[in-house]
Amino acid sequence: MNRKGVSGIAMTLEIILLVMATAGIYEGARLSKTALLFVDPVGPGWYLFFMSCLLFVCGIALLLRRFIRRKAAEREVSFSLHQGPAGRALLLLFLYAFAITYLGYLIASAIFFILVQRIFGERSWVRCAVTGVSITGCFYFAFSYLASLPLP
Amino acid sequence: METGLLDGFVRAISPLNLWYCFLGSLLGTFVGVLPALGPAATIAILLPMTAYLDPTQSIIMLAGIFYGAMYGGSTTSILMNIPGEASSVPTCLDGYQMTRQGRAGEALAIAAIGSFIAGTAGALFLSFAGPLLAEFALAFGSAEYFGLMFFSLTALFSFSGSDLLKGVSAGLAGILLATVGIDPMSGIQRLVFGIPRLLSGLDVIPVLIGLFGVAEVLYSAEARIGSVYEGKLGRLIPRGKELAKGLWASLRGTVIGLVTGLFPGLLPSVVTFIAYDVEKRISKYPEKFGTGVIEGVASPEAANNGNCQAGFIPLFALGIPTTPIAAMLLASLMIYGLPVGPMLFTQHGDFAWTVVASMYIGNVMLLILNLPLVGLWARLCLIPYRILGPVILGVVIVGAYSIRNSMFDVWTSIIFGLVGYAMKKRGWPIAPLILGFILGPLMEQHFRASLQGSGGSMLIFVQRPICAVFIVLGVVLILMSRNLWSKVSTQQAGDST
Repeated sequence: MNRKGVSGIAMTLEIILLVMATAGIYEGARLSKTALLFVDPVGPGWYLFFMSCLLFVCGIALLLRRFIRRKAAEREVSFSLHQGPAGRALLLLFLYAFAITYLGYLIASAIFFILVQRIFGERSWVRCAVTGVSITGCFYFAFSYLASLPLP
Repeated sequence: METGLLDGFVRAISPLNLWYCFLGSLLGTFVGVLPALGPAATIAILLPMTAYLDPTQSIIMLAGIFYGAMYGGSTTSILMNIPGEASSVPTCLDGYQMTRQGRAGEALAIAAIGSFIAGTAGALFLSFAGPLLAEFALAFGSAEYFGLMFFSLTALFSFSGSDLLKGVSAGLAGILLATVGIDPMSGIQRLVFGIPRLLSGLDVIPVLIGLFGVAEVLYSAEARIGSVYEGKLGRLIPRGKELAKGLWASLRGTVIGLVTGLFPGLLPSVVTFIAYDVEKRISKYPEKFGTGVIEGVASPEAANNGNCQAGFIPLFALGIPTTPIAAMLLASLMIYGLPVGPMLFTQHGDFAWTVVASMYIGNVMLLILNLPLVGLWARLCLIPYRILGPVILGVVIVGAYSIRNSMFDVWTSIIFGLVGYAMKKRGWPIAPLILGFILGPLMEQHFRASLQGSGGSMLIFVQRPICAVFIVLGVVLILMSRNLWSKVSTQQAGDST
């Protein structure tokens, strides 16, 4: 991954902060106009506006610091989520959450537990299958019958 | 008062009652171990089991469940870096690091011992100081609570670790995230953007288990670890200097927990953060906090327990539950037709002291049950991660769903898992985000209520002496923060090269 790629990925969190802050400033400014309608003199907008402004300042400071200290940024560990087991596990989690809705908890969980073990390093499909189904069964029994917890 | 406690013990102790207490502790621990199931949820799940017992047996079994659940939550914090509830977050910071060093046994043991110390001190505190201190706590109004929240927020600087700017940013982000939903004071929607699911806001538990649990599993998957700890487990019980350090930290945490437990509305999660922050500030080696320091486990655990114990004072003296767990205990007692409300100490003292004695017996039972089991719990960290990781993810999903029976919370935990993973990779501290998420709404609520009372005058925050003291102390702590000056000097040194 080249330097631009590293810096681009590294800036993602700072960009997210600035987006959050901007949304907060917009919302806070919008709501602060209604303060007079409420009994409390502050209303629902000013606190949000103030904290968002602080966050915006921090976000800008983080970005500026990144550009000023470019050497430090280039030494940062590359964040290639899509290439590693973490990315695959995360993708599987997303698919699992989708699958629960359409396949039901038992089937979706069995498939999830079988596949996620492969990501975590289990080499044998037979062991994955046996362990995956066993975990699913234990979860179902423990949560549904013993704990009376609702399952997704 | 002290004879009342003795009478309570006489009524509570019998072989059958002790058996029910043991059973409650055992069940509470096993259910509480499940990630995302905090003490409140555990009590709710196991409460029906006490319905068939007489009131004294019910209370004592409930006490066992309560302490078992609290300890179970600590167990997952220490062994898997998954806090059972917000108050367990500080325990994760050093407890999990101790596990990764093969010292899981020491962490679990000091958590149990610290809880026991706090429970013992709490029972004595109740005996001698109870109702008198409850009146003092009532002197706290919104302005004083705002001052206290501001003071608590200074812990952000301590939790920011090596990068103050990232820590403060994370804290502010947490404050912002907590505003999503309907404003409780005005009923106005904030940061909902037309998405109906966001009307109820973000629940703290899915955020927590995502940031800590899911993120940790993703991180461990990438690191391809064989198990949380690979090697021979160290001592199961701390000894010598480690034990002494843990005990002193437990005492300090106990004091913090007992004092703060008097105030209604001061959540245990805030208290544990304060205890951790205090411990770090007074330590000779604050830079080691977060790397597996025993004080980082002992103090928050003791503070958590002490806070719950002291919460019985306003509960029994004034009928005011100070924490969600106290509210649940109150409701449980009412279900059995037991008299609760103000003046319980004075009008039904025998019953009140039986409850206090039962809680203490539950505390003792926790120690008796879990110290021998420390070895068993510690061995959980030796389970191959290809099995433990999927189990953790599975329990996280169920735990997130069980809060509001909503897949939205499941999605929240997964998304925050990604956020937490990114934060870990980028060296961002996660604890400030949680602290901001918890403290932000409380600060706002008390800030606005104070201005409501003062007619919009900001002078109320200086005119109320307790509030002014807290704010000044907070500012002083910020200025005295070692983080602040060391980072300034590091920045200056870096700029000059």
